[in-house]
Amino acid sequence: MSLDLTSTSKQVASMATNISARENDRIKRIEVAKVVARGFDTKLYDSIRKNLSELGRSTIVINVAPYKTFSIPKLPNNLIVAAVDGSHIDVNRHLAAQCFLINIGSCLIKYGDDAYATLDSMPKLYASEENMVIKGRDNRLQRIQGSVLGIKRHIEELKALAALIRDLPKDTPSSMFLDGTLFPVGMSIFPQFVRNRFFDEIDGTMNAICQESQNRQMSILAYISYPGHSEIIDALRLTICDEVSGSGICYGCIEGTKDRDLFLELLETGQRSAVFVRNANLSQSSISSDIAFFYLHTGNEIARIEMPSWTANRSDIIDLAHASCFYQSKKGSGYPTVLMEAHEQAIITASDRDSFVKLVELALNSNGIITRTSQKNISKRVRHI
Amino acid sequence: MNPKRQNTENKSPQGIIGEVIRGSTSQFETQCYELYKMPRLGTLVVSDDEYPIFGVVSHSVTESLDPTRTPRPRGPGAENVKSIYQENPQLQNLLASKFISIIVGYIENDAILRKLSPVPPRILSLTRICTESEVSEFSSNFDFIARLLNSTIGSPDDVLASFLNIAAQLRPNPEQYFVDAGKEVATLLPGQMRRVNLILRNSSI
Repeated sequence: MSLDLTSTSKQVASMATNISARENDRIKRIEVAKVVARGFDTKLYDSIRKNLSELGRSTIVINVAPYKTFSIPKLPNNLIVAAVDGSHIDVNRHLAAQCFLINIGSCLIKYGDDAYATLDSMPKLYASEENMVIKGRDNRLQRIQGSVLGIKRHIEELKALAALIRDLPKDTPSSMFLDGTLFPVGMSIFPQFVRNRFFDEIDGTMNAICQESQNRQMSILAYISYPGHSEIIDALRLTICDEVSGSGICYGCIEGTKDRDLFLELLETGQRSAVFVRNANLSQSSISSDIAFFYLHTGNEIARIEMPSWTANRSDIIDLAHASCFYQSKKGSGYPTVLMEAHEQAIITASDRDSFVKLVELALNSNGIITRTSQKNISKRVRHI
Repeated sequence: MNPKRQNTENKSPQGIIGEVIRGSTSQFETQCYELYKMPRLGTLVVSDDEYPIFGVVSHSVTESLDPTRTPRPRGPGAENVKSIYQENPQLQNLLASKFISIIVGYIENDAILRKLSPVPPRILSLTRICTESEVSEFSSNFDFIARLLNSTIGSPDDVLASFLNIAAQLRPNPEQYFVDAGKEVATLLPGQMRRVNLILRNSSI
């Protein structure tokens, strides 16, 4: 029996009515946010930050007011853009073999003289015990699957990007794209030894990327389409909301508004916002988790561009990232071409997943192993009446 | 250089232009190494396997490698098609030029046999454009004409006309070649003089 769309549609209609009722309120909040952003006082905000820092609260560094806009810089004639993206096949307990697969897709496009492109995909199977488990010093174990595998994949994408950089010519400006956030989100739910292991790997890779990019005109960036962040809105609230500042209650200021809503009002096509910095740790800076970011009006949407914090003061690198992101989005009808092609190389289709299962079973059978699977899996495959 | 002559000036020293990606006993499909570098209609090619198989290019296409992703226009605003490819170099990796060749013969014991191949060419066999001497030798006998006329791929009459044109250019007396070929075509198409005339007219253009 397929989904009962008649029943579902009634619930969807009810949801749409609720959203519609809230829309006027949302628009009013965006208007307020716009006014607050235009009157933003960086000195006032700095003093609030300082107070919150003493209380152990981390906030975004805003050196240039959010209402400031920056026009699109010129793109170099000779430019390399490259991207990596990944997808995976998770551990399936119904299969005879416990394993997972990460497929990293990459795309490199050289524009200008001697233009060319290379597309590649690198599948890697993880099947041995040491590859599938993270061990803590106290012999605690964490199997790599589910959300843990998601982070593992992110790290593999970073490593692939680092490898890509090593092979690039040093005399050509380049922009390196990742899809999504620069530093993976959702690690806080993992045990400390898992976080440490991942953090060490990210730190090592980001250090290598930092070293490699020192002698180049290179922007490293993570591109987030239709971002759901509200870090700038939260910063604005600090200056106007009594509840946030701890002196009263909120009478409905700009809570619930997204950064993208604000910057859609502030930016015109091709413009970017100022660069903001997020320090993950108050006590010390981190090359891997501290990020610089800005918002960009691509013409189709507001995108969030995250960059390593070491590039926050490099105006040439920010300009390169700005122009690369805009023109790539333009070429890709709203989404960077280079990321789209890397994604196409990485994608594992439903048919690929079926073929992978058959390949595993065939390989086991040819080694004299009878492939047993769960009755649930068999019933899904046969689907009899 | 006459553009209609068999193109033997390929970058590859052996004239290899691609590999077979689909094959049967009556036709084979080749994917070109370079985008748009497919041979002209009517060109004689050979699938250079252990048993070389001759084919005449009957249909060619350039399309997306991934059938689920169709090309979208890059304009308006583009200067010309060359600039579009220059500004989108990845297109070279995402599109492929392919062509289908009707099998017209094969080599067995060093002799050219002008009939269907007993076995299809192997997948990934190298496809190369035949040299002028190979075309001359192959077209010296008209047994291939029936194969081309009976083919269901593309427009057989136009393919035959194109091949005859190429073959005639290699001879000292092209007019005589057209006359001889015309007699064979007329024999194979009794009562279809209008069709015969059209083939001959197209082949001599």
